[in-house]
Amino acid sequence: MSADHPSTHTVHRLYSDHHGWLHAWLQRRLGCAQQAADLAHDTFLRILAARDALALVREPRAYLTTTAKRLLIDRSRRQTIERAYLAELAATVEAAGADYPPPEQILVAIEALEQIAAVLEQVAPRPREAFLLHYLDGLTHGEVGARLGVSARMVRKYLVQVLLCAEALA
Amino acid sequence: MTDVAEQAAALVVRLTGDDPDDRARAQREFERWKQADPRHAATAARMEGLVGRLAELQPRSDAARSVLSAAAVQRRRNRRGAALGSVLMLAVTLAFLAGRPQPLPVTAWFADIRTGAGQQQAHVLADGSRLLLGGSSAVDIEFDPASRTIELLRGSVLVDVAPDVTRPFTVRTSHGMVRALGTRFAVIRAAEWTRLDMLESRVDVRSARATETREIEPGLSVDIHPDHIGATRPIDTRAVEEAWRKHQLVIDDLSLAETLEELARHRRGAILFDRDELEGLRVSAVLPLGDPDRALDLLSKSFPELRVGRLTPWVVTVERVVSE
Repeated sequence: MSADHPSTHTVHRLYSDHHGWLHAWLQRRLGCAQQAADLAHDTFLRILAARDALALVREPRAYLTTTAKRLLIDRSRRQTIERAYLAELAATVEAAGADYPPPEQILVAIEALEQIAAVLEQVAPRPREAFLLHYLDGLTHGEVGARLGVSARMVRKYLVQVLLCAEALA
Repeated sequence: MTDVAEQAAALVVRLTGDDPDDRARAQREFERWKQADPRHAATAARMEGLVGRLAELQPRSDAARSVLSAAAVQRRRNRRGAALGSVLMLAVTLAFLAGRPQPLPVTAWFADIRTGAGQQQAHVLADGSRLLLGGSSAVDIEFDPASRTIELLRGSVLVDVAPDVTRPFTVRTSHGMVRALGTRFAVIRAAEWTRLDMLESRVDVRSARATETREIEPGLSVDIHPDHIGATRPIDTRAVEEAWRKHQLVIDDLSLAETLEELARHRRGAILFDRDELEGLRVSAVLPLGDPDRALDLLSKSFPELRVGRLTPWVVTVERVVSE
């Protein structure tokens, strides 16, 4: 087991010491015991999958609440994207009288959008727009530059910036 | 940021540059770079994956843009959340919606006939049978020379079966089925069971996992559970018909919690409440289904101790205020 992966033992310890507290903390904020239980459970699952044993041992409660908050943001994002995408799909399909794409394809698109949205959240408006104009709308670097009022060279810097941001998240 | 990431990013961006010669050069350099080290290959794969996924969305770029905007708006809302409580509440609400005990949204999207919240839709089938779908409903139609089957995926349907002695007509849900030769009845699919309101003539009812069938006469309602059939209750068929006709929800001495759950089924978004807090409050009313927000208004007027809040246009909370 690598040095920076929290051992199962550490997480079990964390669980027995702090699970009750996390559940109560979540319940106070969510107003629902069942949701709090689900979320507390998922928080520990995520910690098990993560690689930050140090934060765990030093500030367990802060780490727990931070993880729980991140989890909620991710869920919120996923839900928003799912609804929005299905709504868009419905509108286009019904207007065009076309067929729905197969479910797997829909799920793939939703997951792709989820990943992209997570990256773009971290990025300023101009690099974000450059990234979408080039990779989603297919404009050349020069065309993107014209649209944004910057040089093609600046556009390339923006694109690199977004790619590096995505890598930092990975 | 590591060198590896910076090198990868620089190369990837050149792959779709404006100068065709540089694109070709970058392609060759990239291939060499990827093979030089497994970490290079891994980083390259991630970046190319991200870019590739966006490129795949190009045919639906408008939809993708719209979805990404919605996500960005949501993110700003979450960030601005006044207290941590409201941020979490909102996000969890959305997660709660995802976990509602209804079929996956994806299944319902592929149904043959579908209605949105608060909508009603009438259909005439190939054999002359008539369906009236309630709001937030979805059915699949499976007719063949030997049988006529309607799969009620979610919501409710009022059925007028055209007589056909050669083919039984069945309405099925995951909880069980209702079989008729020529009758009129309503099937409502709830989370844990399916309810049958028998209006004219007779049907046979069967649970999904049991062998017992029971004949149900008009003027009776029964809940079909996967493993058993509940006791029948008398209903006022005229009131039921009227409610369908006027698109209303008839509540006959139901707890407020159950009423809110029923209302939530007919409305986009969620209605949040604490069952324990609303203990003891009962409702007998006729609520407009086409306008669930008005229905909520009517309910809150009947119970002065209720406070209805709006977290978002879609998400509503119902709390009981205890005056000190």
